[in-house]
Amino acid sequence: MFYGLLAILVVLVLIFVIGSLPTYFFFQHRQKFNHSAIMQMEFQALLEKEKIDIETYQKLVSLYPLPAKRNAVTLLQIVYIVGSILIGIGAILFIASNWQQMAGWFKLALAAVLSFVALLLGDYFKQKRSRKLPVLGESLVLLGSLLWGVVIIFLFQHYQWSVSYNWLLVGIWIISLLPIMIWMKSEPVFYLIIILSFIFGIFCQNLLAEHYWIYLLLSIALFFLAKGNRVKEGIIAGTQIAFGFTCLEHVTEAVTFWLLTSLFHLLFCILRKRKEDLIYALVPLILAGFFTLIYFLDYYQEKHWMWMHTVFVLLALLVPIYLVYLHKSIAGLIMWLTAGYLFLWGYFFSRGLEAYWGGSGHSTYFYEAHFGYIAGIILLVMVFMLVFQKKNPFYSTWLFMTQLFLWIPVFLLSTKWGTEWGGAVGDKYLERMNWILVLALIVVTFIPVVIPILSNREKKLKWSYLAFTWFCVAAIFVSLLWWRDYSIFVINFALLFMIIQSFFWSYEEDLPALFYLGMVALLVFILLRYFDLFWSMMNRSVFFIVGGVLLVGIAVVIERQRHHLDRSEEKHENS
Amino acid sequence: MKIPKSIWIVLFWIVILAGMFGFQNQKTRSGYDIWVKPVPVDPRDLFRGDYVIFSYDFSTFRKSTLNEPIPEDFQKTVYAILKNDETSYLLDKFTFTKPSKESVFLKGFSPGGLYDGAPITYNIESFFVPEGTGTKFEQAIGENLLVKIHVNPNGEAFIKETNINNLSE
Repeated sequence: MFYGLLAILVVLVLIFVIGSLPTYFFFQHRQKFNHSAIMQMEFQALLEKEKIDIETYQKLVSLYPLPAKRNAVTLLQIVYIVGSILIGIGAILFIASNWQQMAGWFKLALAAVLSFVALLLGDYFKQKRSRKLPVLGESLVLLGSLLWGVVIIFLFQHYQWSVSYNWLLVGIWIISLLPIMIWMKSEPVFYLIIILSFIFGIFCQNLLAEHYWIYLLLSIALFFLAKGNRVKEGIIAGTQIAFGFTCLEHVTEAVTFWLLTSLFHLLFCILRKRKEDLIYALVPLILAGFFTLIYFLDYYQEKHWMWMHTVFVLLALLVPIYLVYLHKSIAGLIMWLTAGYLFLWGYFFSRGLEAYWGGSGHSTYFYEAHFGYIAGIILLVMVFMLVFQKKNPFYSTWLFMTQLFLWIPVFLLSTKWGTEWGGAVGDKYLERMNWILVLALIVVTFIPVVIPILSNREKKLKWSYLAFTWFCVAAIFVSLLWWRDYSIFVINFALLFMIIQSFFWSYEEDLPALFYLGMVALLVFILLRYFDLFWSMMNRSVFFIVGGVLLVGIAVVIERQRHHLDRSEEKHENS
Repeated sequence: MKIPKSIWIVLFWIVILAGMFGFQNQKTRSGYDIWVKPVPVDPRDLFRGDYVIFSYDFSTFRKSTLNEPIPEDFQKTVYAILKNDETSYLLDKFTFTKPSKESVFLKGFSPGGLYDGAPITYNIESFFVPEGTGTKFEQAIGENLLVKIHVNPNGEAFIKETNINNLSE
């Protein structure tokens, strides 16, 4: 009893501390921009009095940029949504375990009541009259939708309705969610419906082998409901392509599906007279055509296949990136790309892994998997350059990437899996990770020194941050070489310190990208440690539900504190 | 007072729930229960967890059990007429016309056409079990494992229970 209460207390303190940390930095970051806000108001006044022309005004305003508020909300949404999804997964696992100790009617009543309460509460928090926790409201609506799915799953399980009726299960779930999507305009539920429609397609395939058009029709309906939102259209189209790849065993059918989807998207844009979006629909169509060509080349003349394939992968990855750069928009196209990239990566990597573990796969595939990985990183760099290009694009992007490069191997080493695997296959794994660390350290050292010169930065380099990074990496090396028994603790603490340091670094250097990376890293760190410590200790459904509650709790603390800060800021400004 | 949208949605959900209850209730109201002999295997469903797949002697089409020619306009539906074999019901013969109410029959589907060995499904092929208990069913093969199915007058069936607990006792 005592230990139970103590554990709850520790969890609550943890939620509060972890939730408060980002809030503090959000606040500090915003405070820094108060000066910019005042300056922008002054320029506005000068423009209104016609003391300066619009061109001068724009130039002056660009010297005093304001922080991007939208991204901050998006990050909070991610924490909420991940938390809600974890709770949903936990609830589904609970029903799937078919636990007989609890009466069926009680399980049903519990799931139904919880789903209704989550939906009603979510709607309440989303309402204008209660603006304190709008993001929580959205996530509760999503949670209610997931729990409602649990109710349907339970009934299908309880009544022993055949597995061949799974398409009906998902179909009823989708229909139940349509009013939330259309009427309550819930964005996360829209994406949930897209995912469910994908699963619906897979289940339909088992039952209605020749009726793929049902899934196509559903997607077309979703296209209309997306109301011209490029991101939504992109995800719908992306899932359709993924469906084509994952569900159809034969390449010809997969490509046909891809071509059909692309053609429809193109037609959709033409019918809606959205000339600017034609390029988004055309690129996948061209890529699909190119893929078909390669397929036939592969079929008739194998020696030309490999290099054509390489050209295809390059085109598939680089052409859309160029278009994104040209149109200054990442919406939609990225989603197209993600679907294609995931397919390519999975396709090569699965074969590559098979070859790696001594299977019959072709060994060259394995190297192409790395090629795909590198191309993916290039994509990430480009996207970040575009998103955070307002200020020091070179410096912020490269600092972001070097931190990412540095953290990935440390993250891998920090897991039980990482060190155990390293031990099992000799020290090759650790050796490789060490080399990546060395490489990252060189880049970390090199970039902040060289890039400021290239980008004509006026500010001096923050040597203290660099020195601290070196210290952390050195500690990892030392522990791996001479203090192996305790290396796992050293690695974890070093990683945590580096992540926390990134908040200070981003604050000092005005680099929001680094701040968001740090937040995501902190989230992943918490999830990984949670996974390491409790996976074997807890029942799987409890594990996911507790993890989800923990994340939603952290997000509530962040949202509440930010609300208070905003209020106090407003009061201060008014006074 | 304006009723919030979420209340309407909850009401809509309750209607769906009631519909599902009603559908099941309608299936249970008429018809009868019979015991049939299965052969189980043990997979896992994405949503509903562990289940066992049952196959029956009437799950595979055999031309030898057909007393009539396959009609040219065959529409995937085939009826399995069962006969009582003391402990359970076994296949007597297949037919394409709906049998009279006096005989015990199941309505089956053959999506891939009819040929010797073609699979026929009756929606009684899966049975959801508590997690990790699937092996009990595997062990029960050959120990007179029986499945109780409810059959309505149209020959539509669903599983009610098995005799697994009686076997282990």
